[in-house]
Amino acid sequence: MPEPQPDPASADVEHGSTGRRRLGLLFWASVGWLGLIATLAATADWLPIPDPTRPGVAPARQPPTLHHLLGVDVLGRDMLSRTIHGARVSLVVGFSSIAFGLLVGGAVGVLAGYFRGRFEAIAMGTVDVLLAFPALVFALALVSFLGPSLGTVTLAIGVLSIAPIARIIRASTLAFAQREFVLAARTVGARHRRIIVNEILPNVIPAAVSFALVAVAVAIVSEGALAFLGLSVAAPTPTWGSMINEGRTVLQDAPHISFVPSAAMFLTVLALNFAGDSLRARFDVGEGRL
Amino acid sequence: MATACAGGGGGNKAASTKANKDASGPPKAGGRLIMATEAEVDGFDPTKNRFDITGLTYAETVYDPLAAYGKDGKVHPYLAESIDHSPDYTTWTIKVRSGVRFHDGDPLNADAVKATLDAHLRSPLTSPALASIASVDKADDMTVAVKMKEPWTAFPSYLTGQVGYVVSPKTLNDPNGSRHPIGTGPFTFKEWIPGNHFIAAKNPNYWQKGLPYLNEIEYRPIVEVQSRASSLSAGTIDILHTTDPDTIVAFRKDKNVKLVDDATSKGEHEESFFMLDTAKPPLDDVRVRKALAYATDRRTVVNTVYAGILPDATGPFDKNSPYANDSGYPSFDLDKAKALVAEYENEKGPITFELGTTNSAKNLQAVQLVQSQWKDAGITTTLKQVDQSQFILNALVGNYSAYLWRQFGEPDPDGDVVWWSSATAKPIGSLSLNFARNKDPEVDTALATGRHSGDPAERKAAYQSIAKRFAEDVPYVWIGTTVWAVAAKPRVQGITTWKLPDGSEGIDSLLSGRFLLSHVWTS
Amino acid sequence: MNARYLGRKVLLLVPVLFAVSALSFLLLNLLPGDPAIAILGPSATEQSVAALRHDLDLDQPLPVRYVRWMGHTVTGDLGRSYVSNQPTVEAVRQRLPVTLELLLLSQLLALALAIPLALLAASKPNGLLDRASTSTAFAFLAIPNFMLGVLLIYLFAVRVHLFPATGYTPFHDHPIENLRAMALPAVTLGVAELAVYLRLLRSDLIATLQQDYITMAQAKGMSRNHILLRHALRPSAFSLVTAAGLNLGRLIGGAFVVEYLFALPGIGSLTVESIFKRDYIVVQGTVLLVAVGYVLANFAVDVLYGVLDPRVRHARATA
Repeated sequence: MPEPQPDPASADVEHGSTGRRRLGLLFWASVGWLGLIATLAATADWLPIPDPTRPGVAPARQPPTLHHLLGVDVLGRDMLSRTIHGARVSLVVGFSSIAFGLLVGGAVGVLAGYFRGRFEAIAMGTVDVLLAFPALVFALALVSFLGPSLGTVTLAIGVLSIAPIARIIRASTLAFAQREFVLAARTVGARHRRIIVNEILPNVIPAAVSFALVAVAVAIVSEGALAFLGLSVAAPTPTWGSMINEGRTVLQDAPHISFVPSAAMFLTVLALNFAGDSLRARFDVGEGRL
Repeated sequence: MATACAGGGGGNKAASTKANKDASGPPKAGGRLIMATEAEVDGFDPTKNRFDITGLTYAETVYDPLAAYGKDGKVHPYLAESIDHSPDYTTWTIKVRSGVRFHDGDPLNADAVKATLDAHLRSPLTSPALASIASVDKADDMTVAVKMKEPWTAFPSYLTGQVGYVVSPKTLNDPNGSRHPIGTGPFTFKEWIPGNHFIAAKNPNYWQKGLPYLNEIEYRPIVEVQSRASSLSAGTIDILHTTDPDTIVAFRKDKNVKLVDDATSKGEHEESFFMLDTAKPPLDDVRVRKALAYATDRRTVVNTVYAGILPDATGPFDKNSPYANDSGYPSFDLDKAKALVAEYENEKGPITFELGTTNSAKNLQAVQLVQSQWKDAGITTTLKQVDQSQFILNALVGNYSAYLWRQFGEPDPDGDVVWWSSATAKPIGSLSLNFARNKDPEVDTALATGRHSGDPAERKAAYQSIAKRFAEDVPYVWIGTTVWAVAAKPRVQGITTWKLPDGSEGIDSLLSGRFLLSHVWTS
Repeated sequence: MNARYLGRKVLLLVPVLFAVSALSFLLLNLLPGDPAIAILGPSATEQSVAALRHDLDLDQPLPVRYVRWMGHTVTGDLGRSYVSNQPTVEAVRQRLPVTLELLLLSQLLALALAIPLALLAASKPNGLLDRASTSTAFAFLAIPNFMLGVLLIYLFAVRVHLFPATGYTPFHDHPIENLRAMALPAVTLGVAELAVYLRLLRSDLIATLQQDYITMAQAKGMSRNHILLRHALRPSAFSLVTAAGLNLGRLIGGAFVVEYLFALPGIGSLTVESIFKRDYIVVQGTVLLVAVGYVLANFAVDVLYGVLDPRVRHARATA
């Protein structure tokens, strides 16, 4: 029986060079959701919503009503307002920690992959140490020592993201460092800095960005895990993770308290995933090269 | 018959229709129970390991205390045959029961009692509370004489707790003894895998004939409050203890669960309160502390965070305590709070300080609510969560301003001396057992009276005067009285009443979470 | 497998373990408080803390304590818990089987679902099934495991008495009870892994399917299923194996949350409880154990590489 021809669309996806696929509806819907959340989070202070830290705006644990569209939480605080304000912390932690990881891990990865030799050995050895260290012990120690704040939480998650990012970027760099155009640049005597900036980075960055979007999703979920341990941003500042955790104890009586922030987190993670996926497809980045 | 009333405190009428009373008929021997506890212990040696409620529960399984409280509110001898004092209360004579043997067959005698008490006097852990003891001497084979540096009337109350368990000298001398305890208790130690389970088997030679009823007990620490409750609903365990109000309320309504709580029990309960560091500005000013008391709407806190079940607290002695009184502690009054804040701010500027708690979700809810109440009065606080170990250290060294705390459940108020005395109030930076660093000569005088006086009326007046001083000086902002509950499958019997060895009725089987499994049986 | 390559890998173990242990010693000692406070609790006095610190050797300077600990560790003695006096080796031996089983079951579960789903998804990339399965998997990634655990307990232990809510029974005592007790925890931990594996394997399979030798096989008229299973899955398994190895350190964190919710006496809860009690000796032991586990897992991954693809053996050996 003859095999069907490979799906032309999928071939396009994976062979970006032969004809780039347009970013689909799902991508724009994802970007739209992320944009909406980001805008709401940025303008939360000016929106006509109650103070997210004000208890007793309605009887505690009240389910959604016309006055409080997403209901109120265990202390009677408006859930809509808390979800919007919570987006702030979740997005800031998610994006800044990964930006930090990209900056440090990316630099280490590119340099290690390009220069190889002793630097690579030391850099990758350090990465191994970071990976071999239980992430939770590190986060616990750091946050307990510095005190739970937006900065500490971001730093903890950021540091933890360095090692995997460095690994991926190095692998990506390795692949490009052997390509004809890089070798050609070397032969004509271009400086290392020039080769890295002009030849390597433009090829590595798309891979990095698409991986980073997924990493942001993981970071947002990780903030929730820290909140579970009481190690996230100090209350009463809402974060999605701490909101889910607060609702966990009353899941049977007032499920909306956990479900609302969960849904926000879920949609955001999903959007980040779709956006990352589409970008990866567009730029022909294999993800398997860890 | 069964007198401990379930469903007290919150006034839940539906609960009274539930079969929370023990089945009638004679107890049956045999069976095995799994009890979930709220924490794990560090070990079983009372001279080395701190006993919280779980620790006391474990201890009462393998050891016997020298004394125990009766329903009459008095201390009765338990493993001791008699506990007597010299007329001036400077010497206490403890005579132990004869014919009692440790689990390994060694006889219980004065040497064992002396060894245990001496180990306490050497212990960094327990010696601070026993500073009034001068020496422990063997009077005869079954009797020790405890000589005091000052008259100490409440000493027997200490023998009902951690200090009162008589431990085999072998356990005390063995460096690993804390993990293989030998006692005289109703059950013998079988296996302890920390974090997993502690299993104890019936002591066939127990000196209280007919006890215990169960063949074996397994304790499992389930720290997560909700998982512990779910385990009972799912039938994974048979019995649990808890202070979680949501769990208590849910089980009060649950027909398949027997629930007993101590909301109406006579005796001392722990209070929940905000402890203030009175040595640190702005809390060194009594107007600020008073403003906090006026600004705190206790009823709303209890109703919102604690499911409405915590009885009100206006002092260190709750309304069921023999020392209860009207302390004159401020009621919620936002205007008075604002007036005091304005007065202070005109002189010294805005009031801001740090408000701290541990990582528990319930505590976090409480501090957030109180923070917003204080904010309404114009008092700004920042919240800080720290882990338990750091929390205690910060309280000890004064590295805090206001902490949500739970304490003062000592069976006799004399046990609170170390927390309230000026002698234990050290400057910020040094370890101070008087966490509030509240130095009050009137409190000191009353504490001395309570310790030295043998007249119950005089003692009562002394302790009530302390509650009044606290109400005026506000080192503590009261929230409520802790409620402990035991929840069990309906087949579990004997959780409401029990008899002391002298035949009188014991204190409510469940008080402050302490719970005796030697009288429990299954139907 | 080349002996020199193996030898070099083993040598690499030493500096990594050394660095990990030094890092954790330093980090833990940055924390305020010490075991003496954890042991004495609220009744600690200046004298009692000083006495206990002396008894526990905590009054020695940090480097001295580290060197001493190192000395004992080299001889296989991981010391005793400050708090409970239990030998660390014994504590680890009691708790390791729990966590190992949890990790193993959750990974098996994730892989058992991820591999067929990825094969289906890769056979028709961007098809309905592909879209549906990858998004669903991601949906799972977005549910924090502390929430999923609570839900599973409520549904399958409280509402329907299918599984015990909490607790652990050793496998050799009662295999069936053991598996029943581990089912919900393994699902809770495995669900997030499913998304990671599915994503990886799917994109890798798609990439492999475009390689020349696959096109050749297609030209020879081999069936698509045959190609997928025989020619594509094997090389694609690399990244999967790598990811599984990399996951270990991270999983210990996830394991704690699951162990805490289900009251399982594992390494995760031992580590966290010990951190909260400042029981440095025990934490050192578990950190070292996780590090050894990580290095060994990655070592095993390297060996597996050779088994999976002979070309790698050569490439790695000469690299």
